[in-house]
Amino acid sequence: MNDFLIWCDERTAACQQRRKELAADQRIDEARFEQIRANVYGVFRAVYAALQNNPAALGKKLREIPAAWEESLQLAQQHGDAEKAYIEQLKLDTAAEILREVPHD
Amino acid sequence: MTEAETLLLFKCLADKSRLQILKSLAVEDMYVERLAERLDLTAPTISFHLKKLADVGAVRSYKTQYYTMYALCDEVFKPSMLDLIREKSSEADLQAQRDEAYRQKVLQAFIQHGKLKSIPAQKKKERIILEELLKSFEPGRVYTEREVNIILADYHDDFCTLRRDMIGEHLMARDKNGYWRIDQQA
Repeated sequence: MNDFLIWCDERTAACQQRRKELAADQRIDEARFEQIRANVYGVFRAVYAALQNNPAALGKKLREIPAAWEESLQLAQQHGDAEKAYIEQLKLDTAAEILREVPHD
Repeated sequence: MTEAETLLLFKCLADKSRLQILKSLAVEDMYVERLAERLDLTAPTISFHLKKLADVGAVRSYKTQYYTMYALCDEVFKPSMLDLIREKSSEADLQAQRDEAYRQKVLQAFIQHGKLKSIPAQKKKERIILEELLKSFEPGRVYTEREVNIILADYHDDFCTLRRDMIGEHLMARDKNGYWRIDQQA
């Protein structure tokens, strides 16, 4: 399997492990945040797996995903929705970490 | 505190990190970075939890020269658990309607044409029947045992059981002068 896909799987597994530990420790919101991070790895993994042989489409899609979250973050900030803003920022931070790992030709 | 506010508060407190934040603020007022360091969480995560705590009125913030400080709102935690449980339920009216519907069902099942078909074996149902029969007695009036028996005999032949159960259920009281109904407090 491609190194990037393996990396995504490892990060997802690490998030799921932390999610379980946090939930067991009654840190419910933080457990939810780990699930959100795991979902972000899952989204990028799926996109990369589907488009890895089409670099143009892959690059376009990888830019579109965080752009939507950025827009959602701004809306949440405008409406004073701190919880939503926190979650969108978490998704963007995770996306930024993933994008640093995506192989470039 | 309303029932809705109580629910939100308990929901908010059911998180170990938020409880740890409150415990820290119970010691002294703190700013976000200090709490983050103390609880080994990131500053944004602390801010997230503080916002939730502030939304339910558990913490408040104030500005100092350099920092926004957070403090515990003591008054939110002053009511006892019993006080919160005793708050009138938002479903009280609905519950009363259900109780009344059940009461009517029992009355219809056991009383036919003004006569008691049988004395219910279930205590809860018998209580409902006895409460209904009690309406035949005037409040404040003292009845002789014979008068009580005559009134109850109109409903059922076993008036002795009914009379004794009226006393047993504390619906009526008696002394050497006679029997009288005990008016229940609402």
